[in-house]
Amino acid sequence: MNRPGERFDVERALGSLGLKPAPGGLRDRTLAAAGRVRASAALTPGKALLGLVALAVIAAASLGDTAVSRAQAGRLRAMLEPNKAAAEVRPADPADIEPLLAEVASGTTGIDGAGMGLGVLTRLLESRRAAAAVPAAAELREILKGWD
Amino acid sequence: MTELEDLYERYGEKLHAYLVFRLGPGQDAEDVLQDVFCRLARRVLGMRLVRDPRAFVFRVARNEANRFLRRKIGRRAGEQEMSSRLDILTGSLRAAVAEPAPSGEGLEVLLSAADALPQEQKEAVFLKVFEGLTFREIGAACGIPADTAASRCRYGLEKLRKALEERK
Repeated sequence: MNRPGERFDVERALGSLGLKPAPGGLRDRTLAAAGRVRASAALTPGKALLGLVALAVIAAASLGDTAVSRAQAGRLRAMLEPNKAAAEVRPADPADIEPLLAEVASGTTGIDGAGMGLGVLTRLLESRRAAAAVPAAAELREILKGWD
Repeated sequence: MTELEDLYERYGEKLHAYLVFRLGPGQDAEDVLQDVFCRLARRVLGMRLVRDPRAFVFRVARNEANRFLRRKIGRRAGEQEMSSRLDILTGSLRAAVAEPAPSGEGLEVLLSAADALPQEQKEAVFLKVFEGLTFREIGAACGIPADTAASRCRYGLEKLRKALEERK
């Protein structure tokens, strides 16, 4: 039967012996060898940092390129398939249309015959309301571009 | 101080003692210690992510020692030669531990009994008593569960206690 603390005594007795010291010069030899490996290692801290920066640049360029491509594709689609593209444009917010209406009404748009423009715009809005579809602000601007 | 120097300050001497325990005193332990630090040098960045660096470096040392032994034995021809090298394979506390004083007869008995332990118990006792690793760290270093490491250590120390009692 074990008495309490007996195992600890064996452990302590063994532990009291201590370890043999390492031979002199081993530290320097070991660190020199490891340092040489470190210097020629494929991934030094500097290279790792450079790699991270390069990765970030590539990712940013890739995302930017995707965004530009998407915008260009949108423009091309709008040119080639105006009806379909217009359907994909977000519905106009009344808050966007009201300043435009006020602008046209006040005659500060630079459009000759602002009254005529306002009339066309009003008719357009009415026809769209009748079709339960509100035109997009961008579409209205496109329509007004021709009134000069 | 570089990261490698810091690693050596913390673990160099202890790893050397462990390698002497595994491979015997002499050039082999020193060569393998260099291999261990060369391997760690390639992973200095990754070391920051290691949860338990002490268990990790002992695991690396253990793997390197095993690799060295496989290489060494592989080079030797014949079963006879292999069996004559088994003393190296089993490890020796006496090789790594300071000699007891002439008056320490009990310690001499303990050391002899410790060297007669099965390899896995001897290694667990060595890592616990001389290297100060926890059971979890011993488990991580040896690739075994912490409970198994604790059992091996307990059985080993129990055998040592019995050997000491029989001597008395």
